[in-house]
Amino acid sequence: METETLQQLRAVVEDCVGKHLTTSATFFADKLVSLGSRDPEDVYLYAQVLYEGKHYQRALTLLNREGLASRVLEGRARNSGLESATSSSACTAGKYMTEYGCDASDTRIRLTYLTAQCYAAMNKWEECLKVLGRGDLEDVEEDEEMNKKRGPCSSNLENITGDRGADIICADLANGFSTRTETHSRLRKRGSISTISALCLLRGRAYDALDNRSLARHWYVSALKADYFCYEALAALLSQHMLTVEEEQELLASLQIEPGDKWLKFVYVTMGKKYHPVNVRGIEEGEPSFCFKMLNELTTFKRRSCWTGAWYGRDKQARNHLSTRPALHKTLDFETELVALSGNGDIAQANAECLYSRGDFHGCYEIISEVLERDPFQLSAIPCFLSVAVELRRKSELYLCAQKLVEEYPDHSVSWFAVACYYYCVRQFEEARHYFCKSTALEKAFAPAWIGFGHSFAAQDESDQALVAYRTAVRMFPGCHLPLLCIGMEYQRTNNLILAEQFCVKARDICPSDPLTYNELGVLCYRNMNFVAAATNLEKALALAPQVSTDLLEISIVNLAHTHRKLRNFDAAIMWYERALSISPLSASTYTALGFTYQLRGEFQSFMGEAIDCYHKALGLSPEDSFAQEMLTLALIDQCAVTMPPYDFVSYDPYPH
Amino acid sequence: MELETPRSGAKKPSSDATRAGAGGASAGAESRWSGRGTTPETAGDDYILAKAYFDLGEYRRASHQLSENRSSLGRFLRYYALFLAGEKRKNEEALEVGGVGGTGAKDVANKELDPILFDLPIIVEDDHPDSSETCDDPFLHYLHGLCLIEKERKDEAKQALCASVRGYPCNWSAWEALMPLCSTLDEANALPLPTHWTKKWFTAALQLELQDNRKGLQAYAQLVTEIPASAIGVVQMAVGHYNMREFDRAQSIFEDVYRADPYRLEGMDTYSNILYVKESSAKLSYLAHSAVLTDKYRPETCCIVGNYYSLKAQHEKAVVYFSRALRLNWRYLSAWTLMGHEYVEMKNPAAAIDAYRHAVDINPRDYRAWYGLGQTYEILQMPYYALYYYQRATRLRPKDPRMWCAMGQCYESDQLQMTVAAIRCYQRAVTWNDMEGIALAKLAKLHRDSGNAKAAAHYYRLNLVRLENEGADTAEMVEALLYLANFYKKHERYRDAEACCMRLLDFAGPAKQDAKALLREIHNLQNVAAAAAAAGGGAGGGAGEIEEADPPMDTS
Repeated sequence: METETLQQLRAVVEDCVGKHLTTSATFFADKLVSLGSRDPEDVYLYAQVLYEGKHYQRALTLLNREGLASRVLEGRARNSGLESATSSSACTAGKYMTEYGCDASDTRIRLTYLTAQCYAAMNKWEECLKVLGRGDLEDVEEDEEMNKKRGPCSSNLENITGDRGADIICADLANGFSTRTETHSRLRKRGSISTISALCLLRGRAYDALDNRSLARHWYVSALKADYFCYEALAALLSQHMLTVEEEQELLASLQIEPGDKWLKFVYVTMGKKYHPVNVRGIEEGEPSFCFKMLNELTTFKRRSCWTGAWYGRDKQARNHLSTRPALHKTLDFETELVALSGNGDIAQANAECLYSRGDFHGCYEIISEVLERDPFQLSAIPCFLSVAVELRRKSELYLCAQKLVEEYPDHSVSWFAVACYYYCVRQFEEARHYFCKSTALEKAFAPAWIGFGHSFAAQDESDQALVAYRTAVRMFPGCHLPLLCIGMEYQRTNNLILAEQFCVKARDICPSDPLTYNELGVLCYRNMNFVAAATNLEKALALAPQVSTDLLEISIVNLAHTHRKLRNFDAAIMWYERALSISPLSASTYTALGFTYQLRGEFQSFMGEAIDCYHKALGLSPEDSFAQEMLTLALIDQCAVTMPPYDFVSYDPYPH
Repeated sequence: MELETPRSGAKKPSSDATRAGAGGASAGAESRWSGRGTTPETAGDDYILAKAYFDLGEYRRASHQLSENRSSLGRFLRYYALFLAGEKRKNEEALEVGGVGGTGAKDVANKELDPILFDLPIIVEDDHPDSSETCDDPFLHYLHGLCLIEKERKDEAKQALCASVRGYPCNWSAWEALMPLCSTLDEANALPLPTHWTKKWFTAALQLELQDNRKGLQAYAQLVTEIPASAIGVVQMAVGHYNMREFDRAQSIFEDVYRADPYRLEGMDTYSNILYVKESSAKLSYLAHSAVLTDKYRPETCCIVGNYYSLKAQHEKAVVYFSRALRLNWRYLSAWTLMGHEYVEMKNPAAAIDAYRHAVDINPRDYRAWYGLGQTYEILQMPYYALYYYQRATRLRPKDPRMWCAMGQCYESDQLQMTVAAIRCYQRAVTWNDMEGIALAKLAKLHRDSGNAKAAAHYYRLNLVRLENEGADTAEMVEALLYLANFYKKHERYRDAEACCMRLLDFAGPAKQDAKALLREIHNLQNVAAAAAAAGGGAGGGAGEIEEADPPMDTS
């Protein structure tokens, strides 16, 4: 067969793959293998085509038949005595290389990767790991120790993979290059993803599937370190809350991002945890909070009115604004990308999540629903949308969204999570629970469903079950503060104040910027009669909360007012109660409390009129308030005692004239 | 119809005043507002479409249509329509929860307020050249003020409304919205208001509202000479007279107004109140019929008809009409008060309290409602509550003897038994010329019971004078005469005592016998005194000087 014909045939196969003509591709690839006398390159192509066509077992059989995959396993068996299990695959790779020569090393690794992928696709994770090498935890630790001994700058490659097996692969690969100490970025050709990184990612996924979360985390991190373009690893780390804020920050800082890709770092940071305080004075600004500030700046200038959707500001204005800010200008050398990205779905989603975490639900809803309008099935944005819709009790939107999702993705956990959210919103907790459960069954590491599951128990006062659900969430998502906070709240509700405080403090340590956490801490201090601390916490909560009037803000304000009342700062208490009323003027309990404060402030002598007014308003709104009734009667009696019509002098003249 | 004026008359620009001021924004110099974009032609086609939707009552549609419109009119209509949409939904929800007069109606809120309040300050502050039309727009300020009032953010509301009237002084609705926010005239004068003729109308109206009727009347008299064609001023004067209980003058003014403009309904509910108080049922009937002919479904008409039925003692029917008035306008103050009165007549205190409370919620300066609340609680034997409400009423009308009498009664009640306080109240009532004479009788009795004979005699005498003037021969008179006769006898004013006894002889019953006995006694005493005088060389004559100093008041 002429080489030219073969080349042409290869091109046809590749083109068929590109055009998704899988059957044709399979047919021609098969012929190619036969015609081209089993060139490993062609076998690889055929296997690839089979994989694309979802014929995983067939691909494996092919690889075995052609002695490519089997050699991997044989090699493993042969070398197991000499080398640790982890490095076996790599050794076979090395062995293979000696047989086929250095040029084929790349193909070899790709073959290993494809074999592993096939196993992964068939959910045969053990086999997959066998192909990849296990990379057990002890080895990892050992390795890390070694790294420590060697010092931080000894070798990038060890740092990248952290595993001797993969290390050797790297070494083999690196043979193509000049030295072993080449930086990892050189391993990757520009415009492609490093194979090492893909291998690490796959290993991470395997451990994830086998429920070994610490190893999974390790390999995801490795994947990202090997190639910062390996977004999947970051997405896995983020969506499963595997890292704490600090770890996340550390990881992102350690990525050696090239100057041209600076925008990517910005994107990564904004997609990360939203636990950094934004716009709070007196807090040192790290890079993340700076990025969020940027995000804010961008969106305030391209922001619709919170509720009504009027656009305020235009692109031009935003750009002008950015360039007139010297502080920003200095640090930002990717301004054009930044402005271009401000309309991007992921960035908008990050911004929405940021607003959500700070309790600005209306703002969040506005942005996230716009994102979904543009791309209705941007699945990563959907949990955020659902949560905020539940907060705002938009049940029709929830219903519609759930219907669409179930129709389109009946096997996806998010779809059933949406259904559950709808039922939760309409307070049908049994059904909600059922669907939350279904959602977690489809994807065990789906954090929102676990928390929702807990909520649906808590809503029906079933504390124990709620706590179980939350605890599972805590175990699975160590980087997420919400389950901890929920546990704290649940303990608080059941009057277990000591435990409640422990959990709330933990939650605060993880996320120091959630106003809700500070509110809970404030309430706990209040209940422990530590009013000064309560006031501090609540003031913190207010400082962190968005300045838009929301229920959350109102609750914190009322709590702060109660605290000031207990501290006998009656003027401050009155001021805060009035603030609360200006947000929600129909709250009976606030009126009652305000009346009581007036009574206390006037020592039951003055300010009675104000107190009586407040009690009247409270009773007008909720006539069954017995405290208000009782205090009103007392106030009226006191009022009667302290007010007397003034004395007028009258000279009596009893006699007729 | 009522939806466009959800804040009762308060939103409707009083036609006369506004028309007279059609000259435009003469005092707008301080404002940044350019005033452009205020005609439909310049506001764009989408404005005209939206206005059509608005006129059809499709508020949300109108509002949505104007999302991108940046003209002054467009922006205003957009947010105003949204506001009304929220009001409409709120009213519907209130009906769903409890119906008119239901207690659940209070805790529904206009859900569009937060979005509007979020947007308006941004728009008004935005001094970008593109939005110059709406920068500092007085009408947006006005709307902002309305929303702030709903949220009970009164200081901010005042600022917004002041800014509105500064920019466009002829928007009478803004002035009216400002009125309930000023609790004294000084407070209003301290506000940064424009010097414009509308301010005089505002001041006059506020004076009436604050029950400073005399000054208000003067102000209106002045204004009416300036703009003689203004019926508004004349009607307001009638209201002032009505407030001062000068019913005849008020009535004659209303009759003039009616003659000049027989199809006018504004203010005629006050006229019907006057006719009700004067019990002229024929005139009231005539007024009711003519109002029904003019427009049966106007709150004022319903109110007039309600008054008519009330006067006929058909209280159920009256309630039906008052509640119809309230369905037409939920914030129609006098209908709530009058409905409360009807419920009191129907011995339904719970419903009465609810109605009155609505009234004071809408306008806490309605003394009739406070007084009604007091009365109702008195019926319920809750004097502490009653007292508080009477206090509120007297604070609004310190010169009204009825309130003071009512308060006195409360202090007297078995639960309080604060005689001293009661006495002071009745004294106040006397000072302010109590027409019904309750106060004098009560004072006499209270002083008598607390052993202050001189004071008791003082009030018995005054009460006697009053009764004589009225020409009534009642048991009260007998009581007064008997007490005075005894008092004079004790203090050796035998001639005065004798005079009292002689008058008592005109009455039938046991009093006559008592008087005869007294007379005999007096004659004896006179004889003894005469003898003593003869013996002692005329040392008498000092009888009246026994208790020269007033006994301290608070001894009881």
